[in-house]
Amino acid sequence: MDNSYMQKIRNFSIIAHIDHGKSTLADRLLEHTGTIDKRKMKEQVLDSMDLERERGITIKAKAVAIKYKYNGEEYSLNLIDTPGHVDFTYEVSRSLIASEGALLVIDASQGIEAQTMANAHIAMNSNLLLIPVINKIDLPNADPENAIREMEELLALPGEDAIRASAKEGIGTEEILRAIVERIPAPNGDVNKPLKALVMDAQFDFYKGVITFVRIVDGYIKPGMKILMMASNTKWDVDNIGIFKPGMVETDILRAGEVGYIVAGIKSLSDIKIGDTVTDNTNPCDRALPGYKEVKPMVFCGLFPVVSEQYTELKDALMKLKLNDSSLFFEPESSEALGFGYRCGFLGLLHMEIIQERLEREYNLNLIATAPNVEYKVVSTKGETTICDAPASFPDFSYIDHIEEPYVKLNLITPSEFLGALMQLCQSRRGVYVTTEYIMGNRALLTYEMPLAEIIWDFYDKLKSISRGYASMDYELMDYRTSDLKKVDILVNHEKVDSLSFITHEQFAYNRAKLLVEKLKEVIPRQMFVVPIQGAIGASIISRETIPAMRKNVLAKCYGGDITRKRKLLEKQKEGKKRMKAIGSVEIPQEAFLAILKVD
Amino acid sequence: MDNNQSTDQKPSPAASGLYVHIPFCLQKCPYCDFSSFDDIPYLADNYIEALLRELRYYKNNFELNFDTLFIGGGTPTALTEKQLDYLFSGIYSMVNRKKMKEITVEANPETVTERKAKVLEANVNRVSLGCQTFHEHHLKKLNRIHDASAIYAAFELLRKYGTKNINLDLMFGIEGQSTAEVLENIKKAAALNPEHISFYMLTVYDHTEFGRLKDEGLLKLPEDEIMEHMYLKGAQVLEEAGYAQYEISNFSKPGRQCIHNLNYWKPGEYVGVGASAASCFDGSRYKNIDDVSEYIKRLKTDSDPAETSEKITPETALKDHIMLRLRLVAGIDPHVFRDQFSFDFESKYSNIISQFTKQGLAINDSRGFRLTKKGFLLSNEIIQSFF
Ligand SMILES: Nc1nc2c(ncn2[C@@H]2O[C@H](COP(=O)(O)OP(=O)(O)OP(=O)(O)O)[C@@H](O)[C@H]2O)c(=O)[nH]1
Ligand code: SF4
Ligand SMILES: [Mg+2]
Repeated sequence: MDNSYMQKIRNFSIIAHIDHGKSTLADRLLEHTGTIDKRKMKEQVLDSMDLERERGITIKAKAVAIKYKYNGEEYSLNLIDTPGHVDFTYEVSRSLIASEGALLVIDASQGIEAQTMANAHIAMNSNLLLIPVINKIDLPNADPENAIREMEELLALPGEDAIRASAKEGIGTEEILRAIVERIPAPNGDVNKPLKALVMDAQFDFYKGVITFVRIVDGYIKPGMKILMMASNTKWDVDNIGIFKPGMVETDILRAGEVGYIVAGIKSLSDIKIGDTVTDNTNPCDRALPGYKEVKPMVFCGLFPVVSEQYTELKDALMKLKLNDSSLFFEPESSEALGFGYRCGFLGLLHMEIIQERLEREYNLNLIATAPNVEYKVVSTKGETTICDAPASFPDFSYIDHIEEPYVKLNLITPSEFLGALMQLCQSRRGVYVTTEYIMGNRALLTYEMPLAEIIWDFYDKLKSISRGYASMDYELMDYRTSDLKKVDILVNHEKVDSLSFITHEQFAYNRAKLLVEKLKEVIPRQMFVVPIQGAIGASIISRETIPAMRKNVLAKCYGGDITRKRKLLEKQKEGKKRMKAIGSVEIPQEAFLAILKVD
Repeated sequence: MDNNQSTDQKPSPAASGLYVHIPFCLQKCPYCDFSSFDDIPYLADNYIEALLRELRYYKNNFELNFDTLFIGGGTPTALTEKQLDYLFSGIYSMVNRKKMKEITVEANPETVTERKAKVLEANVNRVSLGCQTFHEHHLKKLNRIHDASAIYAAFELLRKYGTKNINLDLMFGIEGQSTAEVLENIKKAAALNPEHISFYMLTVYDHTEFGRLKDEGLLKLPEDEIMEHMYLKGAQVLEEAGYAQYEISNFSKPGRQCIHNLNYWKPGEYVGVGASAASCFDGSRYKNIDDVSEYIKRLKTDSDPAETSEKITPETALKDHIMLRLRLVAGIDPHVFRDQFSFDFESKYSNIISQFTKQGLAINDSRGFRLTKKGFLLSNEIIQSFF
């Protein structure tokens, strides 16, 4: 077979900081090339999940095949729209491995932000060609020149490469399409070599089973072939194959350089490994592709059903969500306070929030979430290391030699006026200063090394409020470092409530224990008796508050015969209590378990 | 309509109380949760006609034998003398006044004129007067239309024209009120020597003006500890003045408890007519619609004014019994309870009973299970634990 068809293929991703207009730009490209009928067009059409539409963000990367006529010749463009949020950076990395180039979208009114940098660097490190697109030039406060200068300075990209565009108004669309053809290299595989394809992603479909998304590197694939997944060493018969337009459209063949899907009778997502290499079972390739770095959950929390009868429902729901979200981790956890539930791991706080919301909304579960924490490496006095992702699972501190916690490299981009305040924030969160780089005099790139635990502790909200929304942040895991950490236990009415325990650096222990205990005093309603709330490290009490006994709850006037209404009122009050967790004889509302995040 | 059916064919509900609701006031109070309106006085004539029609319906279908009549509101005395005459003569043409032990009307000080005092004396034997407080600045806070002198004037007029049984409503827990002021109110009220005093805590309801203010943080009621103190101290002062407590918020001279209200808490049966009025008889509870115009319209067209009805199941009967009886100082009578529910209160609820008696919130002895004053303040909590 001739490889020359590849000259007419371009594979690219759209990358950017969150909200800079990737999905809107994808809309214009689909519309301009007639991939989607104008009548079926809607805003951010590729954001097809309910949650994506509701929140207006992209969560999963999505591939679409586009036909584009350039100088009278038809080109096949494979576009991948990626998410911008830091929790989903792994989706960007995966997409870029399947691309030869990327559109780097920059909001002309915001300039370069933290994820612009992070994502651009991922692309550059894989030697991809970048086409800078200065988007939203229609906005009154757009400053494309400034955005271009920042780009030159921070990313060393030549300013004349930038295309000025408005994805909203369709300005620059044709120019972008031309640039894709002109600047992005054609794929350089060989269709005559044995099949070698990258498993980019996979999705579970109720009727078809697992749909595997692939980028073909060498060779070709056809229905009827027997394929071998090299890493997992499993064999499958290909039923059918196709491409996304953006719906699935069957084709006869997928060749080197092309992007598409395979349906091969795979029953469960657990049978397949993202990043695996697909090859021809009868004529395998010599070496597998390097694949993907494994995505690991970074943030953990306990999820417990308010009523214990929902435990199995919770389990089923988590299993269903996991079908299409391999980054979700969960294992059974039992808490003295909250009963049976699951310890769940997430990529970040947004991921955690999304999963919780889906569980509650789509699966009708009423859940109590415990405060999120990171994963610790606990080294015992005997030198054994255990991984602890829950404060409750920490061994007795007398058996602990030392504890290591994850550190991240944190990049902040901020207007210079907030620099001082942000440095103070980072310092107060145990940040280790690395550098400040000024960008064109009025903005700065601030780099710190910081414990991840401090970032999930309400850091983002603080950052946004200090900078009035202007600062952006990005972080990536660096390493584990030994820290002087303590476990603070909370006792309610003299009973330890394991799900309220938290791990914190020694220097914050007293203050956080004090603030949490104060906060709990506010959120736990008065009971019929006095309830002491105490914070403790080991056996020593370090803070204490007392919730006074309830003094009144009475219907003062009860004349007139509307007894039904009065009874219903009391029934409702009683029902409200059932939604709380009774710990011993104290009723604790759901919000108490998250109160820790609100102290600082 | 045939009003001359032979009486022995009609079912005879055990309803012993008749309630008549008058939903008009001169000015709506910001804390008021009752069905009352200050902007529809022009509906009064049609309204009285409608409620008399409703009463006639009962008269035609049941043998009525009421022990008590309670005309509540709103402010019944906001009606003109003519309207009051029409109302009373209408009612008395259908129910036997002579058999009634107690006929109460609610009144507010600003509406008690010489002429109205005469009308009342001719038609009722008990007046419940809303006074709330004797402090001008608190009357203003409550946006009451009258001042303290109007309370004295109204009381004097009622007595002058012969009303022998008077209740005064006193409120405590008003924003900025001190315990000393609460006790001063009680002393001033007791000095007038009424037969009955209602002493109740200001409760803020969501959909009222006060509810809105509280939500916005613009209304700061005394701390719970202070409310508790006001209640306990107030009850003590009332008792010292010769007013014995018989219900959470009610105190009276010997033999002057409100018979009509006692029937609610028994719980007994009763018939209510008028907008928003509730009834309980024949094993069901009914509640009329709140909307006054709609109420009038329904009665004009002979349709049912009830908005909701509920069959009393054994379960709700039990809840109601506990809920209502525990409002009374007398509490739950073990014999009455056993007769009605065929099981023993004490053995069924022994855990709950001992929990509350230990905490000093209740007493349990041969007379029954009943709440202490501290228990009254927490009665919602206590009642719920039986639910
Ligand atoms: N004025 C203006 N608004 C735009 C333009 N492009 C996108 N937007 C708006 O910017 C917001 C974000 O657009 P998206 O396309 O969802 O951004 P995104 O980069 O895909 O966001 P994530 O996927 O969440 O990272 C939306 O409200 C768009 O309507 C543009 O050219 N001009
Ligand atoms: S006078 Fe009584 S019924 Fe009328 S508005 Fe005031 S509180 Fe309500
Ligand atoms: Mg998007």
